[in-house]
Amino acid sequence: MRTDEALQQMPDTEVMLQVQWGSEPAFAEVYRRYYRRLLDFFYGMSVSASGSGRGDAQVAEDLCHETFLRLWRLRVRYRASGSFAAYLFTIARHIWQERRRQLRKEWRLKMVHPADGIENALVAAQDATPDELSHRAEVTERIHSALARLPDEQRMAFVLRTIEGLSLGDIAEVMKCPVNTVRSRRLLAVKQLRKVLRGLFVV
Amino acid sequence: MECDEVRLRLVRYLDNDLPGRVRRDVEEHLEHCYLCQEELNEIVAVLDVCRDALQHPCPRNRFEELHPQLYPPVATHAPSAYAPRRRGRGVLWALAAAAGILILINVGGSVIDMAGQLDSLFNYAAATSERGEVVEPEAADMPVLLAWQHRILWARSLSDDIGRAEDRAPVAAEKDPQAGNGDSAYTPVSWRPEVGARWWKV
Repeated sequence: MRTDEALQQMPDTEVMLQVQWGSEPAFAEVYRRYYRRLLDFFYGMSVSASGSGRGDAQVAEDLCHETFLRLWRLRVRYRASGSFAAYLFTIARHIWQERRRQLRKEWRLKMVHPADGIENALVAAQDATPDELSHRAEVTERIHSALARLPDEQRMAFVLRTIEGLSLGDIAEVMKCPVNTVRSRRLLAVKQLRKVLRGLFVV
Repeated sequence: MECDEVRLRLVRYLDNDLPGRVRRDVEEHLEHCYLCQEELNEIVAVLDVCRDALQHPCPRNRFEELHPQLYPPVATHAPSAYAPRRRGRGVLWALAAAAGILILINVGGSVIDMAGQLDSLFNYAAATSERGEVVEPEAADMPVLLAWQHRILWARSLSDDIGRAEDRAPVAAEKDPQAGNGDSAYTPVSWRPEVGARWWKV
């Protein structure tokens, strides 16, 4: 796919204003800039819904697809008044909240993932030796499992800040809450993850 | 700054979310405190591992699959999936119709009731004027006639001056000791006008 070099030099808001006029190359440019970030966001959020205890790559791709379709259909509503990333991730958050219930229902029907509490994960992490957990895939699975036990708001604040690198103001705009609430949610998420992951690797 | 205070601020320090003076204090403390440095390194390691683990395993550009869906087919006869659904309109219309029917029944009943009262009043007036004498009304019509008499008096008292209204009003209050049969709970003689007078000139 080819996009104009001029489009590549433009900031997000200007590209999106061109999308408002129905420019498909501009939309392709927006897609190129953000599809990986949206995939990571949905992949990080889907750890709680997937039955395997890991993020669901297929669900992440579907939701990413749906987010861009909604961005295109609602393009006339865009107002260049703030960060475009915050606008796009707000759409993504709405889509995630719409699909979350359905995904959890599917997860319960599969009955693959045991409903362990945070205490079980803590005990398991303390009992395991670094040798047993040295394998990268296993470490990844434990991280996903730990993240799946976080409340949805804390996980979203953590993913948006740590993985996507959004500013705290943008996260507050996406999550429709004060900046201090974002700070506390992220702090709680990091605290819980440190508890669960302590012992999995040597610093 | 003490170790506890610094450790509470380490995540915000990594986020570059501390005010300048506090940030400088944290940095000064970290320069000489080995334990807080360990704490900071552990947080950095946790965040790095999470960052690596939470990336999509096989990201690929699917814009070519997205492109055909940008323009949904326009419906000709069948309703489109993208058309807004008009929910609840039928229920609203049914409620409005039910309310309208209730109002019509209420108002219609009142009108029919009033028409019946006026009919008996006019019948009595016509019989009185034809015979040239006062006709005793039916006992069943007495409450209606008395009610209308009072209404007329009240309306006239509004337009006339108080003195003239007082002069006319006692006529309706006069009592005829010869009348009154006791069958009715009302006193038909009390409202009876003079002989030859029209019914409304009370």
